[in-house]
Amino acid sequence: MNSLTAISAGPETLLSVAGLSTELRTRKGTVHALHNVGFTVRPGEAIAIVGESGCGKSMTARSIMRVLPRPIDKVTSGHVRFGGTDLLTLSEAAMRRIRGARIAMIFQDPMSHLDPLMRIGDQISEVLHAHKKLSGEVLQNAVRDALAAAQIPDIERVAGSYPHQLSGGLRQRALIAMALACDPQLLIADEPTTALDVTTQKQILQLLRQLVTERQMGLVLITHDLGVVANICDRVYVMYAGQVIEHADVHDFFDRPQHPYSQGLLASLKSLSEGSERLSSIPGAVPNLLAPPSGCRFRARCGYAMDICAAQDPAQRLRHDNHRDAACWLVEDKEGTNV
Amino acid sequence: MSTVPRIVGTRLLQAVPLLIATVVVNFAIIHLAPGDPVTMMVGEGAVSADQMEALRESLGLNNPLHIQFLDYLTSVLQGDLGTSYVYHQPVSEIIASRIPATLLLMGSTYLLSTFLGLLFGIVAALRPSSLQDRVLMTIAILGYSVPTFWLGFIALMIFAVELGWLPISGMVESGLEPGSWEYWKSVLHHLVLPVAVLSLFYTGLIARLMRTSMLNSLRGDFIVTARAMGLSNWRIVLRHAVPNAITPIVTVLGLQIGLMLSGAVLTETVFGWPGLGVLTVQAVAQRDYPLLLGMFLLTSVMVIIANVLTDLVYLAINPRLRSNG
Repeated sequence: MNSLTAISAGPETLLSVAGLSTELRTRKGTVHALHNVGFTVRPGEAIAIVGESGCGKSMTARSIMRVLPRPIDKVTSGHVRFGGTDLLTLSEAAMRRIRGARIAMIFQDPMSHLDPLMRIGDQISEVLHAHKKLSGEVLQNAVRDALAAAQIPDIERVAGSYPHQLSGGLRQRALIAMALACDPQLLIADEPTTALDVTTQKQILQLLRQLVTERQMGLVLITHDLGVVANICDRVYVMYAGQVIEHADVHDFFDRPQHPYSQGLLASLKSLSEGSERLSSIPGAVPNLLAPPSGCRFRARCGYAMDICAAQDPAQRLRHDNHRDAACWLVEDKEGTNV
Repeated sequence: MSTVPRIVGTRLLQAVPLLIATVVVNFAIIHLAPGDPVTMMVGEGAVSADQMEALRESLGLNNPLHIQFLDYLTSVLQGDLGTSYVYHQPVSEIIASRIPATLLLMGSTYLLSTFLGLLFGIVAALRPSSLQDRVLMTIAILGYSVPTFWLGFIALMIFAVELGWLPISGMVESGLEPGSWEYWKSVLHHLVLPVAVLSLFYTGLIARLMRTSMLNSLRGDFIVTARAMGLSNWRIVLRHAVPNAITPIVTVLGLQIGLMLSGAVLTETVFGWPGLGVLTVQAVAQRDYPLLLGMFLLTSVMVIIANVLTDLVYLAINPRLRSNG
């Protein structure tokens, strides 16, 4: 558990996650969805959690918010420090006061994540009422403010609309308005632009970046799209098979990715943008998290795999502070002296 | 939203050809069925063949089928459902006299079983596979799979015959002044068993449907949003999960109204409840064509009206239908 002690949560750290492990109970057995995940977010900073489907990105978000899919799913260890407390030790009632008020979350598919039978304005009022006990004229004004903060042009119309009457972009803005209503310090965005067309995608990302800067809000952007990361994020965490395997400043990451998996991801992105003949891809498939392999979880797909990779998991010695690091035996320099 | 009046109008217009088709089919079915009303009316061997022939002639039964149909259609359109062969009274009056009894039985059953069915379905779905879920769903499955007439007899045996707590048959004790307090008390007393037996069936049906629908709704992404926004569990269930779960059930609830008003044939028979169900059984047994046609027409009209009402209610509670008409 050396990674737990290695946390250097400075005073300016907004959220600090350490040693987070989550298990999902399925019919086939226990899925070790997250293993020893750690990262930090500072106010006014946007971090990205990237990785392919099923790597544990969304599960990380839901573990922090403590809204796992089913009651039997459990966070088995770890700390989630936010505002001086460990969220994992809070009572459910205390946690509820944080969700939606101090940490808010938006999702991939705004259509299905909004209640189809309720007007947008009512859905936003509901959140404001739950946390701030507002009512009457004050409440209505707060709803309008929230919609304005999400840069929604036609506030009255959108407030009176049902989700199906809005475009995809407006729906995501409505969800953002709901998330911003109580002025949270941290926003977790789970693939917020995946369901949108490219132009709308860009606008939503710009909006998120602007909110981070103006409100000094922390943003955790979960995505599989490295283009999105390059656009608005300050730092990157790469996840693979339920573990963080690399984290770095966004420039360092795109310039010199250290982990072979990150290098593979960037190579496939490059081959795409340079229009080369063949799409570069990483061979093999993600390991089964019902029974994770020993040692490095990526070694079966890795071109550099060595003996030590099977014996010891390099993620064990990954540092979770603000210096860049990669969970790979090839990366020798643990002092982070400008790799 | 000018689409709403258009949808309502279209729906009402569609009901008209449906009604006409219903009248045709009902008429055809009854006249294609074997059996002769005159034989049933006079009994065997008591009357001469000439007299029977005269009777057939006077009832118009010797006319070609299409003439009989046109006669029937003309009178139906004038609001005349004909005269019962057996009671020698206008069919509409006979049916009208039985409606209050059926309405009382079915209305009580409907309200009780809708309330309990939705409640049990919700409670069961909140903790799937828990003890409360298993107990409620076992009762629900038994409720709608055990034949109501059998359950009716068993209930009568226990509560009326053995224990003597409740009356065996009928709707009210004879000799009480209608409208008096004693009268209504007696009606209520008679109502308990048939409503309980019928409600068990409908409650089971609705509870099963509601449980499934509620489980679906609870799995919805908007529930995740509501949780992530810090809403209380009660609010999530009552304001988000339940409305979304009830919406698809409304169709079933609406259709049940139409079917219920035709009377619960078996239950009314078992409990000697003087409603439309018993009337239908008698009309079949006696080949009372006009009465039977009247009952069929009433049932069909009720189903069609319930259908239209269901559509309108659906329109009111589901905003998605209102804009993309």
